[in-house]
Amino acid sequence: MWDTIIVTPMTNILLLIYAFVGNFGLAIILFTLLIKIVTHPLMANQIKSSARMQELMQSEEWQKIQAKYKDDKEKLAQEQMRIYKEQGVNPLGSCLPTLIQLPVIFGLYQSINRVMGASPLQLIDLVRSITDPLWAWLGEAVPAASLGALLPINTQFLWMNLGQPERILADVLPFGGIPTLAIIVGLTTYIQTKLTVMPSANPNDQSAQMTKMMGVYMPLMLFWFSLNFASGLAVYFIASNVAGIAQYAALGKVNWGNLFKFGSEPAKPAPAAAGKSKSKK
Amino acid sequence: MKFKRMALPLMLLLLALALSACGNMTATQGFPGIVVLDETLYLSEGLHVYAVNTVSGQEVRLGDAPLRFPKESDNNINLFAPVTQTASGQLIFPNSHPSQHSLYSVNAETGAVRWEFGKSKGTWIAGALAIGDDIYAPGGDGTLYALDSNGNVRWEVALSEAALWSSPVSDGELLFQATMDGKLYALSLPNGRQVWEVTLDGPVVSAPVLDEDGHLYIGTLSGILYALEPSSGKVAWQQKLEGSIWGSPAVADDRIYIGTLYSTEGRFYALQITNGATIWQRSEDGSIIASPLAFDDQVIYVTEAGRVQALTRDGSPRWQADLKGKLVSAPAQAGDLVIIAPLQGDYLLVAFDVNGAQRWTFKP
Repeated sequence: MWDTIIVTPMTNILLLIYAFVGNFGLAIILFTLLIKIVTHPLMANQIKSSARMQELMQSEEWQKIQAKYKDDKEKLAQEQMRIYKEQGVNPLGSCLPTLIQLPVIFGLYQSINRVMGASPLQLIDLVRSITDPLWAWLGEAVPAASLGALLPINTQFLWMNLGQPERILADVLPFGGIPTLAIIVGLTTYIQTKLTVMPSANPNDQSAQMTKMMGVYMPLMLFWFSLNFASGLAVYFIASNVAGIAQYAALGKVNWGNLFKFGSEPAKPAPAAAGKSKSKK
Repeated sequence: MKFKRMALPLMLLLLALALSACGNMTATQGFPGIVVLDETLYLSEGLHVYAVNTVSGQEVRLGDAPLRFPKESDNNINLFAPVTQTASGQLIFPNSHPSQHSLYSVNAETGAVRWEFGKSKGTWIAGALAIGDDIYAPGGDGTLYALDSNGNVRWEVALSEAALWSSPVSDGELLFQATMDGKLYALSLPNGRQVWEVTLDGPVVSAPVLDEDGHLYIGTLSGILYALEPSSGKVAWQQKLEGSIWGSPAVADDRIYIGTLYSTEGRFYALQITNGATIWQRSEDGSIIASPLAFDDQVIYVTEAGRVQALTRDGSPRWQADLKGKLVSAPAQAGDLVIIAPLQGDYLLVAFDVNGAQRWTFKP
């Protein structure tokens, strides 16, 4: 079911782009952009919801109830729900679009992996996708998208073989070369996280802590992925990061001032939070 | 709070694991490679090549330890292509790891590495061909390498920009090598000079087959089976089948047997050797990816869905067995046994006699 609804259609669309541009690296970039455009309304919704939530959490009324009911979690939850209703904010508004996007992200990842067809099991899946009865007409309608014309996929892009982990100067350097693409993935992920983080009302609250950790772990995780897996995925990560920043920029939500800001945010503490912070010291 | 701080790294770790599992990127996902040499079966199965006695189903031992290569698991080694044995007894097998590209020569009695050939820069998929002590290795970089018994390059020919998935075959004078570009080359055995080249209608992942009369048969992923004249490359006949041809055909008497991958289903054909006309065909619920095995008066094929099917020459069922796992590797004959290597099954090997009775299983 997952394969029929998500992976096979995505694989065939990616292959169709490849059939027209004849370059797999370019096809991955265009496909990533296409997915970003299709999912943009969801993403925009998520960004707006996050911003509204952030504004709400910085409001005086919100801070007041945090202080007033800090020892009564049940009452605090009731009051928070009341404010959500009054302000017309859906607390899940920023989560749901992300959840809906998750299958797309997984499917995109799997389809790129499949198209590279670097191993026998991957190639079998790729042949199945191309010859799937629902999609086989594509090869007949567009000869360049037929199995015979598509395979083998040319995985060479710039200096990289997209089916292999990328290294430069691998023959010269003793430690196996420099993973330039993995470094770019780590950097663009870090930059994206920094640029798109909303300022928090209280740097010590859970969401601010989580965001801060995300800014550290996400670039490291994607760096590790790019270091070990096929460089086609690294191209996807970079395209996705750059497109993600562009999405935020288009909505005027890029926080440029955050790029070179390190350590805790000097946000204006709310009275209750400030008190809590002082008592900790 | 401490738990919540750990929640994000844990979620990211789970995401990493999920993506790794979805993508199957940690290793080259190949088929188990099986080759029977005398009474020993060599099984290339991911982390090791196992040596198994075909009579007992027990692993061959070297002193107290089993004879395996490598002796200890090594994450930089991934072995799937079938082993090749040279006349002097050395075993040749390629490492199909995505980023480590070596071809090994190993002492068959001790498992010790004799030499390692690392010139190819792509992932090895296909097994090599040995003629005497000479080795012909189809590289993951699209180059066919001819090596001597010490691993020195005698000649090399760049045939494709894509990896060579098909093993070469030879009639003693010419070497026949197919490519993923849909080309079939005939090369001079002593020097690699190209004698002829034929363009087929689609990519080829399986080795061509030579029959006793010297005809060459080869199938493409586009589903066309070709019969060619080995001396000239002239196409004698071609037959379009339903689905993609992944495995090599089996030739017995006046017939050619071949299976196809038709979406998630399979088709199995018996064709006239003279003109490719269909004698009979069968449909299967699972794709037929592996080459069939024809011997005595029966033909045996396996399906990806786990079925072992034995038929008489006229296509009537003789016996069948259903195993757990995917059956994507060709069945091997060892004396009066048929040995199957399931992928992701309960056992690495299952042996049947000619009547379908299970004789032994192997799991290290």
